[in-house]
Amino acid sequence: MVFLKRQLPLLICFIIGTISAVQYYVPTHLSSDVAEGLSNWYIIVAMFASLLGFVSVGMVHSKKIQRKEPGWAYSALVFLGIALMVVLGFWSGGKETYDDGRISPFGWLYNATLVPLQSTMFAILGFYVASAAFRSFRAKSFDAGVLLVTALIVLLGNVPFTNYIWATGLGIHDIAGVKFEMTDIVGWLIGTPNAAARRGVTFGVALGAIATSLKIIFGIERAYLGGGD
Amino acid sequence: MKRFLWLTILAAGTASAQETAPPRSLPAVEGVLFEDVPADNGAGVQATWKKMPNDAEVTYKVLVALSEKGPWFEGGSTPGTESFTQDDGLPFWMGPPRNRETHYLAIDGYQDGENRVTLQPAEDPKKKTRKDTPDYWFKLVAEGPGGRWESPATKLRPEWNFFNWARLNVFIYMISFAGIILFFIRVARGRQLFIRRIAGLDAVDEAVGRATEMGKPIFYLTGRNGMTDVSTVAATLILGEIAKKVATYDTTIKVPHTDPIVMAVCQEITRESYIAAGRPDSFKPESNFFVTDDQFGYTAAVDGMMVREKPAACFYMGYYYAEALLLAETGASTGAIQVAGTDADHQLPFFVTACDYTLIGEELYAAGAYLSKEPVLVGTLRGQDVGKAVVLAALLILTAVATIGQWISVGGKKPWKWSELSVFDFLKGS
Amino acid sequence: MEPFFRKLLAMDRRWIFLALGLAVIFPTFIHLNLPGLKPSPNVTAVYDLIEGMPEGSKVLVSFDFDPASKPELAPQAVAVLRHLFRKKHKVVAMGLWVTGVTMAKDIVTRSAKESKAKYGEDYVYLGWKPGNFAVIENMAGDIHGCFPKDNDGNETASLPLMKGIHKLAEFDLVVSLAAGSPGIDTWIAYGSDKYHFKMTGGTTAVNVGSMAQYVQAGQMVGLIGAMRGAAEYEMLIDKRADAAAGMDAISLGHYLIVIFVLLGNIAYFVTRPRKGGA
Repeated sequence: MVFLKRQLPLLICFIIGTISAVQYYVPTHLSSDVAEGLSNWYIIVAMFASLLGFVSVGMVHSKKIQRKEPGWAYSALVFLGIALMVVLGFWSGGKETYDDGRISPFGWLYNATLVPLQSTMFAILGFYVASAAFRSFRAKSFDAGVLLVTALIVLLGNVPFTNYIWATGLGIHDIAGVKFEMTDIVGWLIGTPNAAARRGVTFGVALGAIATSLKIIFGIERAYLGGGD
Repeated sequence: MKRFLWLTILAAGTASAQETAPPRSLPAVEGVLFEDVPADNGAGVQATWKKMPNDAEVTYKVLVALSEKGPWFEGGSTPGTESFTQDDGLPFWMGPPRNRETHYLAIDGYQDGENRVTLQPAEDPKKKTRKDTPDYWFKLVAEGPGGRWESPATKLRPEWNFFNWARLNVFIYMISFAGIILFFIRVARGRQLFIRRIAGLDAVDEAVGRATEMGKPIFYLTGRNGMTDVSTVAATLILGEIAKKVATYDTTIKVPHTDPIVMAVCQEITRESYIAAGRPDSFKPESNFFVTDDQFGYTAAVDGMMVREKPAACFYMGYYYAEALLLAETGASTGAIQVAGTDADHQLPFFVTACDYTLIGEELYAAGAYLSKEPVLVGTLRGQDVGKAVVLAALLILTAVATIGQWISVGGKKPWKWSELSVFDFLKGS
Repeated sequence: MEPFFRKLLAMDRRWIFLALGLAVIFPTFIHLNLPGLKPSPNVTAVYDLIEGMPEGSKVLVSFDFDPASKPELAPQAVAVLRHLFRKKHKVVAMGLWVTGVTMAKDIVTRSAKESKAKYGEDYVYLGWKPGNFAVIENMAGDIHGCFPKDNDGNETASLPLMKGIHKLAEFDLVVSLAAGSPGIDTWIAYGSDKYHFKMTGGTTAVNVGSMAQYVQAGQMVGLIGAMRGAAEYEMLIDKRADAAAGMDAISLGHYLIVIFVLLGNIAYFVTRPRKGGA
């Protein structure tokens, strides 16, 4: 049991991890075949794993309906939604549009529900940005002040009309021969200090990711198998 | 690394006899050379030839055939003003010398009608024997308003290689970095290493305590990515530590998932944590549950749960996309204490704005070591720091070298050959 | 003034939502046509790249987004496809996001119809396949093996356009229009960096900063950023469409957020305690 639960997964992890790492340096056909084979296996495992998700959704919501927990009707809607999508999917032969260009019921359901629902959720982000900016974006210290001023410049510079006022209204095109339009300032802010900070974070993240991968391949880190040893 | 070098004879008019040979009024192209591409999978041949005075009006083509007499197929072409060795994409320790005086074209196949046929290596590992793979003949053709010129045909079979020398730099980094990590793990087993304070992780006790007092649940999110992402792995490790505290205080934890594999892993980790805390009976498998793999479907569902259940604490660990602020703002509106940890640099500003504590970048990976204080994990942290110091030193030195090289070239002189950023080429690899 | 600012700070956030909603809806009914838009260097780089390729170049367009990002990325996709078809390039479209399959097909089909491009010869839509980065790795070795059939169930190998394309490196250009991951970074890490093909793409406003690094590092050529980038691209191909129409709403939204931030800070300074205390 311990072998199946601990040693075997660690062994598989070590072998596959090492092969994947070595494969990067070996340019032969065999090497690329191995990489392709491994990615195929990943796709297969991922597909089977989605079954796990489906079972989990079924269990959680059927329990809610059974126990008549508050809001159980929504759980019933989950099943109804799944059933509707599956039935219409089969009915439409899995096609969103028929060969003559007509939209199938499956395609209609996609366009009429998923598209607007997802767009709405993403659009809410804009509202949340506004509310978070109003609530939390304060010049509480010098650093926060610099951040605030920079953010305002980027926000204003991202609007073409500001550039128009800057260049046409204020007539600013260059300072001492150096091009100095609003877009140049924004471009510099995003491309230089911002990119530098991001790269700093990326370096740290990359090294951390390599270290974590090494720990996992060598079996030093095994808490992801459940438990520390 | 084995190479085939076939140098063509330079004189014009010595091209192999072609029945339909066009007029050869263009000057002869000099230095035509066909070679096997070094360190590849055996499907590449590179052609190099000298820059000619009439390049502006000439198009070069490399023709490929299975016999000296043809038929000839086009393997690749380039205008005379492009494709120099300077842009061959290989690092400085490989390939021909970098300059704008020599043309370069890599060929990995040829166009036979509508089909693109890939070159076969001389010794295909699947076929074992040289007999099964064909010989290839190559020639360079220059075409322009003045007519056409052809080089003599050259026989060559591309070779496959065991090691991609273009990735030597990455290999050296990998081995050295692994060495440093393993060394510090050994050191950490012997003595205790210092680890700096991370405020966000100190807040874990406070958050769990608050949830216990209020009798409300803790929400723990592992991000949007799967187990192949290191940040998700880090998130699952932190979950293990937090679940131990949750089990000890007998509080409720809810972990909604967007990836079924992560869910299965987290279920196991949570179970083990409850066992480690001595409360296996309190473990509820349904505390980890799958919602949907759809980004905003998941966000809407979790936001809804937050609004209804008003959690005492919310943890957002792992990798996030646009849902970051949607989740964190909703969490903030419910009055929960919020701790985020992500290496998604583009979402950091949102978490910093909406959460009480944020683990930035690699702090997320350090969290497992910080919370568990395991010497092995703390050792890897020190190894990472040393690795980072090496990168930082390399950056400073090379930036200085590049800057000096730039100054010299700005002064009107040619920069030092080696400082034409060949060192950066080494860092960048192929 | 202080009581007013105190009230302002304690304001229900739904008022902010309402104000922003009105600012975005207003220009939908009354077109302001605010001037000042001009193509940025990054968008121009993408345009120049496509414009400069010889006719009939093979281009892979990956739709790595779902309907959520449609307002930002669909105008980019339409503009790029219009340009590709106008230049008579051969387009192979696909996607790495399952929820975007139908939307992507719709965009490709409409653009192709408008340009009178023929399916199978001028363009192909492969659809989606599970596996995220693994799909890219598979395509690098064998596209026909990875996508034995296109989205409509036709044998990929039987399509005239696909007869000449077997692996990723054979494309003259790969365009990833991405709202996140898998997306541009995935294509670079598992595709162009390993197998050496030219990359470009477009992304949402929130991701522009992260993706711009790849442009600076030379790992991709140019970048179309958000709706504004799409509007700039529409300008370059001289076909004003959805993105240009949406720019007024975006502009007013930005201005309103600036006003909120300024108001919030004024209120903070006016109401903050002078000497200690809460």
